[in-house]
Amino acid sequence: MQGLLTIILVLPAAYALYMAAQVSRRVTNGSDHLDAGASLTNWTYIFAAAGVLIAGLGPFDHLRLVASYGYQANMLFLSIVCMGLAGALFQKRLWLASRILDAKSPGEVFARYYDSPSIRIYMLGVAFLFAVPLASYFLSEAAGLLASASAGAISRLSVVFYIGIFTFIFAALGGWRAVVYITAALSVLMGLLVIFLGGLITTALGDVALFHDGLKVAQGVLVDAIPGVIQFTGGLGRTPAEGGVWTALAILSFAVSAVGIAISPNFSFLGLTTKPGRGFAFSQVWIVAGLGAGLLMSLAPFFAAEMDGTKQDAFHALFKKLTDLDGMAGAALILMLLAGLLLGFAYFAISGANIFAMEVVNRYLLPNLSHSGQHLSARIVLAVTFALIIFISGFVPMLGASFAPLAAGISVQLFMAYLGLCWMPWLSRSAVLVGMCFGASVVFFTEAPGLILFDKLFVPLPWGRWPLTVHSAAWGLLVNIFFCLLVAIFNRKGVERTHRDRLHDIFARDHKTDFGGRAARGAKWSLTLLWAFLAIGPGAVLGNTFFSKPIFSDMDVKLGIHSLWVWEIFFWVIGVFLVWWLAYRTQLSIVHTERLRVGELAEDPRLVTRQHQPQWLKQLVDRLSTRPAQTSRVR
Amino acid sequence: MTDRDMTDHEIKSLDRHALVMALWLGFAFVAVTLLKLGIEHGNLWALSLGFASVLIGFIAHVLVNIVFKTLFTPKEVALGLSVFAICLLWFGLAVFFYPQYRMTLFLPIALGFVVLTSAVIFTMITWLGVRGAFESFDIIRRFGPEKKR
Repeated sequence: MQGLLTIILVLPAAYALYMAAQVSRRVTNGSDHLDAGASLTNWTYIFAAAGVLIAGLGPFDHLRLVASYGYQANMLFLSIVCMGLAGALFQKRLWLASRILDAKSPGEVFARYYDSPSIRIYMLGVAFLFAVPLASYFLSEAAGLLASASAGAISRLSVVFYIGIFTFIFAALGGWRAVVYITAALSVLMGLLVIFLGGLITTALGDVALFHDGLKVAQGVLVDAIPGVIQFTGGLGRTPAEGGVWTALAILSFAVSAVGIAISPNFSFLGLTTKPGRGFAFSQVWIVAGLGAGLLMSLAPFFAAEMDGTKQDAFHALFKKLTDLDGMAGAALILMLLAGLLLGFAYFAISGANIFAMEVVNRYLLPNLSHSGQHLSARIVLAVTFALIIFISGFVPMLGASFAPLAAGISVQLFMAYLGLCWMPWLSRSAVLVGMCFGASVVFFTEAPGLILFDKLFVPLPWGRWPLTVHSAAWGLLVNIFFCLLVAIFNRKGVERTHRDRLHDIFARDHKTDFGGRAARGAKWSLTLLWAFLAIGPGAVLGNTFFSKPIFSDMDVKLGIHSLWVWEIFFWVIGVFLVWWLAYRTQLSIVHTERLRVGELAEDPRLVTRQHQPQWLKQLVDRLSTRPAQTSRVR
Repeated sequence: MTDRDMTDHEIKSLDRHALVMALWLGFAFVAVTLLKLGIEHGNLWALSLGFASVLIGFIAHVLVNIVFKTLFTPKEVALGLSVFAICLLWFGLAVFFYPQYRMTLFLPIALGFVVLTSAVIFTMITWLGVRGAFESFDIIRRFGPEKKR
């Protein structure tokens, strides 16, 4: 098996290296190395975006969750539709804002719009959480998977080193363009293998386990039902939830955290480096919400039924069955899981490193770098990032696993900032900042790192992780919205508002959306809220028995599959329609560039953050870069 | 040394190349797995689906050509023909040396090759016309004396 595993790993690796070499032969411009000259074509965005969003959610973990919690965990795949919705709401306007303000990275867009370096620092923090702890977690999981598949013949640590160093080499060689090409290729590979293995499991492994034995969930877990709207438990690690942790509010709040991935600076960076067109809409509607969510929610139970959710190595049973059928089939399973993990690892790590190089090194530390200097600085930042990742996933994987869940939760606190930038000019800088700070603190203290820290330093907190079965991201967002609106009441107007309005005036003048009349606008938003309530919100509990014991009749209906699964698929179809309606019909994701004037507000003194390099930083860099010999000579 | 920006043409060509490679990476892996499954276990469904994967990959490649308004590049044609020739040779040798498989697998594999060849010919005829398709293989004329002007 080791030989086969090596061969299947060499194939994508060869592709990665080949594409990196091809790109590096053509790109010699330092800034192009960092952002591909903001000219990535639509197809790269279409495939790469879908892959990144799904990988960020973690299909690897989700299959394990479905195996452990049954159909209640399968409902989590509907959050992919929410990612499509979030993309439709923000991606186009963020792209337009970046062009109008002539900003190259998400942090720069927000910093210029709100005239706030604090938001830039916050976004850098979020990018770091995605680039280091989350990427370390993915690499660590990938290494564990390979070590387990090779029955220990390949050690976990060596996999961490090989993959880490190899990814660094191709990223340093090919730059951002090569990374996105490879991300897109891995997305295609992952999608095809999901279809292929789904087909194989349902046809070639004998009796379909899902229909014969069902899902083998842990004791006391409701396999085919959502265990209530909410459970008044202290949270994970304090008091166990009855019937499973995935209550309706847990699913809803998980979807909120999934939105955090879609609005993270790392993901937004992909959109900003893409050329405009219909790529945003196509990706959000058909690939993310359509194909991605649909395939996973309909095939995951088949995969999960072949796994053993009660064991730590849940995939082993499925891997063994497929390997008994044919070695290549087992290898295909490993490749599918690895593609998802490595895609997430490589994309988040490299995008984070590039954002850091652009926002910190090229802007503050060394603002006058030549193209070759930018090239070098990007590679140094990459090397440092990868060294950190390799160290964490190789030697302290628990650190990555503990901090990784913070990434999406803290990222979703940017929601109000996005709303302000794209739709609500009355949300002021201070309102957004206060909301973000409070929200992020709440996320921190409802996730493992905050709880451990508080427990060790002071006294144990009365709640655990995700109290009342509500995800930390949603707790944070709730507090964030409250404080943001509270502050916004007091400083809705003023000089700052006038300057923020300039961007929104351009949106209204040149980039109109087509919501229709008042009734149509109301219908669109109310239908979206209704969908959220019934598909992923409290109304989802109706799906437990809606199709098997219809409320309008005393009869039981034998569907052959569980009612909750039918409910989920039904709302997935409606969800895709909703995203289509917003993205295409309302023109939320269709970019027209005829009236776009690039850099129209670039010269606005309020919208451009003034001095690039603070004086103290300049002095520090000068002091560090001056040679001691020269210094003594001057003396 | 001065820095050089990529031209639009270079970007387009690189984009197309990356897309084609990405598609074939996925389809080829699935096809090889299915064909291996089909041949080793005598599973005709797997065998047919393996050839279908190659066919879908080819159709996807044609679609990419249509979107990018290009033809197959000489390197792609050379690589495709070489792989096809190696597979045919392998098939011929396998039939010759392992006659026990002849009855069960000969027909489906041969049919698969015929379908793939037909797809290529069909594409060339619809794209280049009968004369153009023929001239693509007309090596004698290509290497013959140039026409007098």
